[in-house]
Amino acid sequence: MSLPEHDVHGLTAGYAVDALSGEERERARRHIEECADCRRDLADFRATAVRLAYAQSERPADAVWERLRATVPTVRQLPPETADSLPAAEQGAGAQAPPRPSGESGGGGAQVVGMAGRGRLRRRLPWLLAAACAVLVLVLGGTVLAMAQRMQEMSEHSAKVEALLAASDTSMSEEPVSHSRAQATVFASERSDMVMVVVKGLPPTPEGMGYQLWYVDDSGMRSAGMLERTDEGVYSGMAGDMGSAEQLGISMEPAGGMPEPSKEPMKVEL
Amino acid sequence: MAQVEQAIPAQPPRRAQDAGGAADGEHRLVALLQRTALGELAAFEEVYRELSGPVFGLVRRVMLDRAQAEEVTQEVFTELWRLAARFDPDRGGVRAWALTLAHRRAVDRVRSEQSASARMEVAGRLAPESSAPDDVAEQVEHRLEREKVRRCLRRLTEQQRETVRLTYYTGYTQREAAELLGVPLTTVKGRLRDGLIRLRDCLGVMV
Repeated sequence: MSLPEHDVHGLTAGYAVDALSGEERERARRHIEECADCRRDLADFRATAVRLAYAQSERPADAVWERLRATVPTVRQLPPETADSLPAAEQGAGAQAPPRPSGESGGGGAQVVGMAGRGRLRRRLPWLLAAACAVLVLVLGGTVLAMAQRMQEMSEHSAKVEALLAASDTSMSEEPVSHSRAQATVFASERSDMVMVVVKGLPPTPEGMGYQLWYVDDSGMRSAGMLERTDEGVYSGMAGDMGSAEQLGISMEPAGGMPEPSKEPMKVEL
Repeated sequence: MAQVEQAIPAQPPRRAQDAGGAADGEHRLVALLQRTALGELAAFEEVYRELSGPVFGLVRRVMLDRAQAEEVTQEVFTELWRLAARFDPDRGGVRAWALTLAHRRAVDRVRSEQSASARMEVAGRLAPESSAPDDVAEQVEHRLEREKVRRCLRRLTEQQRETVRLTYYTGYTQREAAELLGVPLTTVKGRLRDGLIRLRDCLGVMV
């Protein structure tokens, strides 16, 4: 990849201070990886930014450390990256192919797996832990790089994601999203009381709006948080407290979320 | 896998020389991080004592809201705990690693939660007042560092300073900064780059 000289340096400086949008950021990252001069510039600019940060030093409230001390012992630490860890993840995408999202398998390809069906068809997915990256690569329909970026974005949730994928009763199903052409991949575990959903094909929301996820059960609807949008236009969300929800609802709401859906949400079977 | 930052190897450190201390400070941090990777809470606490000031100060500068900044600070340190074993000293210092992570997270949070127009409104605001009742030695050190950075910022052209401020401290993209300033994107890119180079030289940054 060769870019005009000043464009390249503009990218490196912009990358160093996070002044690029998501797509540019990824482009810059790939470019810098292959450009020794850029890497040197990046290291310089980052070290400069460290100084700018130190000039803003301010002590946080003691409560921050108190909370950390209480929570981190329960946060799993990742092992060092070993020589074989990355290739394994990359090979995994092809070698251990889990069921592909049915979006490309032709019309009506979605298997509808309802609540009752889930018990029967429940697939035990212990391999998911080993192939977690691979699975998500496929689900997100992106590249390993996109996945790496997504994992980074989701890192605060990733301990939960790992826990969900590792749970012995986690089921995975492909579901259509009603009143839309979108397709959802749902991971759910009754035992962990958690659900993760990855949705492809939703139209992008206007500025200031987002998609909110709802649990739908006999007693009505309750919020399960906002879906996050990835660079590829895929939306994903994760929530606990699934309870006896039978469906997920998805509706467009102001980005901050609403206590109740402002209109009848699109539905996804659980 | 999750460690995107480290996917880009920086040059091997010629000399570890950073803010708030010198090479031995960095060595100490690396050692502390290695012990943190073994699950040692005491070592992690020392890492926190070393880095929580700049991490929180930077995050607060970007986000403005104190409660949100504390939340993000907590997330950042949880990440450092999680990823401690993935830190590679050959690819840049602990401080740069931690602060890159902190800045990225603060900026992403601000961008996803606040529309650009809302941020435009607060762009004119001054830096949040510092409160931090640090101990005296810390205070002096911070003041010296602050002064030095301020002096070097003054040596930039007005436009360079504004661009550095809008991008790094306010969290704008280059494109947003260009829009706000009413200049072409390439102009902003040039100003940011030249500004960072001039700052680097003025501060005597050695990687």
